[in-house]
Amino acid sequence: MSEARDFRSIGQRVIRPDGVDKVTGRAAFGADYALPGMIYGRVLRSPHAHARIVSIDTKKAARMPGVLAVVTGADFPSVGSEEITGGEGAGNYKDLATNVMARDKALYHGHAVAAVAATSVAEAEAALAAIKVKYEKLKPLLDLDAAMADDAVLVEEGLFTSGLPEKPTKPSNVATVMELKRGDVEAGFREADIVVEATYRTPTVHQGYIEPHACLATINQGGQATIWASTQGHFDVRSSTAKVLGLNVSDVRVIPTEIGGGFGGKTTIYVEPVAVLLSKRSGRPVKMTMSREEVFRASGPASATKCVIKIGARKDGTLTAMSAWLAYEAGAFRGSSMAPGAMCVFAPYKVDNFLIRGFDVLVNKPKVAAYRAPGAPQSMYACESLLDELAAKLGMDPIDLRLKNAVEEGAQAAYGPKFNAIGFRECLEAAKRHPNYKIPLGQDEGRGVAAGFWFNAGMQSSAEIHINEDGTVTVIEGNPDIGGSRASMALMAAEELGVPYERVRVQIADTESAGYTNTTGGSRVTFATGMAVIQAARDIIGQCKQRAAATWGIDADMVDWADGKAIPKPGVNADVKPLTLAAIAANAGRTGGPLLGRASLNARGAGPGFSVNIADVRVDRDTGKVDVLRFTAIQDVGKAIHPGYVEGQMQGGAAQGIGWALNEEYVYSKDGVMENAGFLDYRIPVASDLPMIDTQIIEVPNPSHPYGVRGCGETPIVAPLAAVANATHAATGVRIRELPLSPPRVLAALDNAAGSAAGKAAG
Amino acid sequence: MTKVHVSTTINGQPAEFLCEPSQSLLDVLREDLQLTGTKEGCATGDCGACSITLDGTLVCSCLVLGVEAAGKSLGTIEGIAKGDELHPIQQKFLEHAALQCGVCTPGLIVATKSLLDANPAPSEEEIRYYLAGNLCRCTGYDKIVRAVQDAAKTMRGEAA
Amino acid sequence: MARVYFPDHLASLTEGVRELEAHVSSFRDLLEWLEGRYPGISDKLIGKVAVAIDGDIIHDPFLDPIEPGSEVHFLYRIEGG
Repeated sequence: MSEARDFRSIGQRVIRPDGVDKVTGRAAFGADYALPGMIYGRVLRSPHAHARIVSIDTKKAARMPGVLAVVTGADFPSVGSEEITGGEGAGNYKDLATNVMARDKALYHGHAVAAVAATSVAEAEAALAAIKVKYEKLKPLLDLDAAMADDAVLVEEGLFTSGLPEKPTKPSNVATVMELKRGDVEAGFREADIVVEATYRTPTVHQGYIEPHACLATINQGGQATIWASTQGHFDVRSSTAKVLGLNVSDVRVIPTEIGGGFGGKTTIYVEPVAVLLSKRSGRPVKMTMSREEVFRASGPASATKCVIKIGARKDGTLTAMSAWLAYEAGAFRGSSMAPGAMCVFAPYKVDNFLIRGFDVLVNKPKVAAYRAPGAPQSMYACESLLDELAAKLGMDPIDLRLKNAVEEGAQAAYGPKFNAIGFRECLEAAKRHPNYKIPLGQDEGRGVAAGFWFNAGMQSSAEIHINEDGTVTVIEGNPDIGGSRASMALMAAEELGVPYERVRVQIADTESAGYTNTTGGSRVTFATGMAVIQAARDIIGQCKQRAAATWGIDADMVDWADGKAIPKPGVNADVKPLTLAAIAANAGRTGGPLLGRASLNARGAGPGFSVNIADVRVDRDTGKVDVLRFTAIQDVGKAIHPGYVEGQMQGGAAQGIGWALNEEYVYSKDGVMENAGFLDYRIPVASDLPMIDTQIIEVPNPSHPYGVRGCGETPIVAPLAAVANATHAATGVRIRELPLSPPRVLAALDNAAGSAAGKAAG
Repeated sequence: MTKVHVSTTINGQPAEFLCEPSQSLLDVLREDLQLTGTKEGCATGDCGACSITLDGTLVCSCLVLGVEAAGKSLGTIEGIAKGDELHPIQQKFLEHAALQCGVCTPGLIVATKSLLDANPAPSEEEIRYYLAGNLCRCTGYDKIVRAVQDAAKTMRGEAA
Repeated sequence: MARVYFPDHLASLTEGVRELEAHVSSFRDLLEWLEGRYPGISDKLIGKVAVAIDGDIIHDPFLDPIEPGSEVHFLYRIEGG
């Protein structure tokens, strides 16, 4: 379907249509909305990581000045167990409802147990302090080893592991197991000249979007609710909020605000149904925002993991067998990203024998949410680190080792199907040739390489195009613009219609004004919604040909569309002037009414994305601090619609991956209290931590998209973890198999290595 | 609690407001004066999304009390563009795709203006350290630093 | 003839069979054919798993054509960030 063609608009570095509002402070984000009579909602959160809620007394709080509503779990309807199938990702509405407001148990420190709405934030917070909750403390489960132990306390009583061949006889904290295998893995290891095996751990990390969760909600006496929400997917907010509150979907209107980052963390709901219920009880519009501390403690971070990888290879580097044992913390409710992590772990490599086992494990921590290529950074950090160890043992260049085993078109992915056109080999070759791969390194400096992979998603999208009376173009679609997607949509509409980019504007419409569209996530927007925009534009072109034909008194099939104009087809004997889009629009009332194009689709064929990163670091042996000197991100994106924003995805993903590798982690007390719930102590990379991030866009067109688009937003975060870890090993000679490589951990490892070296020398 | 009457200057215009003694300036700007261009990312002075100038000094408005604005001159994102015309920093952020979600952008632009007013030709390192208090989670800072360098050039009157 | 593959975690639905051959021309036909062999299976597949037809991952397949020689893989539903 991909067409070789010269583009006029696609590939231009245009100024995004929403840009001026965003550099002048006009753009309205989640917390920027206000309504007359608006009051403020705040949430009381569990001080315990695991406790039975014996009683909640809200009487005193309800009588406090300014307080207009108080709610607890008892005020929410009971929600039955039901799989969430509409959106993306696994989940259960009962869990979602219980996460929004605890019922009989608090399952993590920060779990919502009650909420208050008052005329000021200060009054609401004073009222929270007056709510008396009686807890019966339970032992919290805080790590994978403890949760997977045979005699472990159960986070969810009566949870039986799913995915086992036989029904288990006793409950467990392991919610799901999965297995992927091919060939004979033991035979493959026997065939190997060399076998390496190691265990890697990654901590709980947060997406770290700068805008905390925020919404404004109002509901009338007839039960019709309107919610302004900062979300990646307002249609999911609508369906989830309706389900949690027992409302009809048609009675919930969600208006997406501008969104201040999400990275997967804003694909679910937290405060939205609470705000609606407080509005119902108070009769007033209710605004709710999370504090930064609440974002860390009570939104959805990414899983901590333990990954055991084993790889066998021949002397020439050919992989003979791979195995992975992958345990992912789900938090207090099932549904980690273990499955995609398991599907990704060996995806870049051809190997006849493999066995992958994944475990989704409940612990008393916040329910995890998606985080950019969810699941992949953790498992692939482990595999890409071990490949580096293997390359060193084989005496092979790490890129050559990967080239030797790289998947290409027609190869069968470890997760099942055969790949169509992909650009992994192209990325590896570009890395090998890149000047940054050859820069000489100094003392205590090291270079690391790693590969990344993500599926990318298609799914459902809608788009409408209105041609205005002056021939300008309005695109209406339903994906919150998280990183410049309005510009991509406008470029694609301009390209198809043959009009200048500046004549196209894009509206992100609410749930009542845009056709149903899946969430902004899965790197799907430019691919799937872009495809809907292209189809809607083609619908317009079809109509324009008919209008031109009617104007000229010829048949529609005698009309072509070229350079933004209707013209008679070559050979058609008609003495007419070409009709521009503006001319047809001006005459639309006389030729059949307004020009309105539309498309809705379920996009298939999202092209997988591969990347290769090169990291250069310097390690300070006195402090253990690792500095990134250079970083090179190479990625196949199929076709870059707006190269500036594609580079931005690659650079931003690199920065997040570097943060994951070097600094970021939830630090828990033994009682399960996160001890660093703020940006001072949960340290995401700042400007002075990073170098310029060099990018190289590779374009191997996706055959399933008219322009070859693959999607590009998630792949960039996958490779940096191992690239930085491998570079740190190269700089120090010490392999640390746990993230983050923070100064204390690196220093301890260096001291330990020096100690054992000294011991050996002494012995 | 009795509210306090505060007279101040915001973006060159006289302004008055009533606030609680404990209320942050950020909260006053956003909730009472509807100047929502200044963003809240943390309320603890760690993210810089609420950057404004107070008598010309760059501050996190979440760490300043509303009452402290009395008699001072405040500069917010709403005052950076001059009438109908974007400031060169704003223009360069757009041209360099130096924003993705855009929520840190007002703070970064205010901070950048503060930098370039004091140091018209900062090195890359000076830019990175000056802006180290403004967190951006989307861009990896590369395009922001380039936009600042380019804006500095334009403001110095050099051809881009 | 299309080849249909089930991963281990779904093989319990097909009495342990992980690979099948089916004469079908669309995913709808495939579901009907599977339902005939394994009554109740379609309820456990629709909306709960994704499918790759000739390498293209589809979240909610139904009318999608299946060609002779096509490969159909049932997969976990993949989420995204």
